[in-house]
Amino acid sequence: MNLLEFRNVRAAYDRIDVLFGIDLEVPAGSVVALLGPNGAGKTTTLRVAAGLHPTTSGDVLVAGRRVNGTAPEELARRGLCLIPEGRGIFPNLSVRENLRMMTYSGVSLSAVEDESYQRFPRLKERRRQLAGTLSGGEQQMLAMARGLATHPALLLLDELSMGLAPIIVEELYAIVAQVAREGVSILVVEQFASTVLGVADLAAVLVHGRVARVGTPAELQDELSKAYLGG
Amino acid sequence: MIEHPERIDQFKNDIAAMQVRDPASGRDRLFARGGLTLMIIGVIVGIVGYTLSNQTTNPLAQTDAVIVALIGISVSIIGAALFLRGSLAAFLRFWLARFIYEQKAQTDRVVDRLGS
Repeated sequence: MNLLEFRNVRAAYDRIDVLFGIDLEVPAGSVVALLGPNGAGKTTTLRVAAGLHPTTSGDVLVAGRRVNGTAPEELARRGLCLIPEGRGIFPNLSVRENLRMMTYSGVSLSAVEDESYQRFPRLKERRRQLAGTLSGGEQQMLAMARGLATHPALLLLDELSMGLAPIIVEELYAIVAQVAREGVSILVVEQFASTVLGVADLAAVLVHGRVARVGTPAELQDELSKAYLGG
Repeated sequence: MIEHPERIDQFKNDIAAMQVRDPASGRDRLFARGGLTLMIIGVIVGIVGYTLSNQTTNPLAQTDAVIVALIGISVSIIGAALFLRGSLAAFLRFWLARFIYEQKAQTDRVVDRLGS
């Protein structure tokens, strides 16, 4: 069964069309990479899935249910989590205080901290530090820790690698792979494909608001070259 | 191999049980626009009532004009309530969440200080 499905989804910003009828499926328990050049509509696709951006036509299905127009907080409450580009942490709060923001659902702070520090030991060392003073990789870890504290069933990751050193990106994707093994379905958007293809079960190439190709990472290498380099 | 398939099942059940609002109804937007329209209409009716009362020396006609103006004010108040419901509810919810968080943080700071 698909945990997330787009059926001929179109979306626009005012009168400017961005998505031109995309079809995409995220099977339960899998990692799907959505790749493509800048401006292809990748982030908009995630925003549509999270309920943050309306569709102009087409259907968005979550766990087989059409959810067009559902408030993002309703989807989040039930287990859909978006970690946005730029991480979305509170820079003037400490790591601990950022994690405390995830206790709104009734989970104790100690439970959130235990789980987060177990997954990201470096955050424990930085727990009293202001989030804005963390390195880019640590900020991304904090964003992921905060998202995972909600125990999502469907995780949407936007440009996880943005501005990070390759070794940190590999470290983060190792955690993504572990999270996927735990049963979380993941749709990850990336502009730079090399690392994400190592953990993805499926990949789709989005070009000019259209899904140009869907396949296994191995099948898509050629398609990616064309998407990025033309021809 | 998925380690915790039960989370997926729970997610499916939660989504199935969710009340999905029909996006075509756009209720919040309707409330906001309807409320704004009623506010404007109410003010106009109030001004009309005031003008009518000024144009006559007949006390009965003036009473009627005052009633018209009062209806206008009532419509404005109802419009304002609908506008608040439609446009500011989300903002106020966010403000309330932030307020609760600040209060919690302040309480913790006080408790830490008292404990040290």
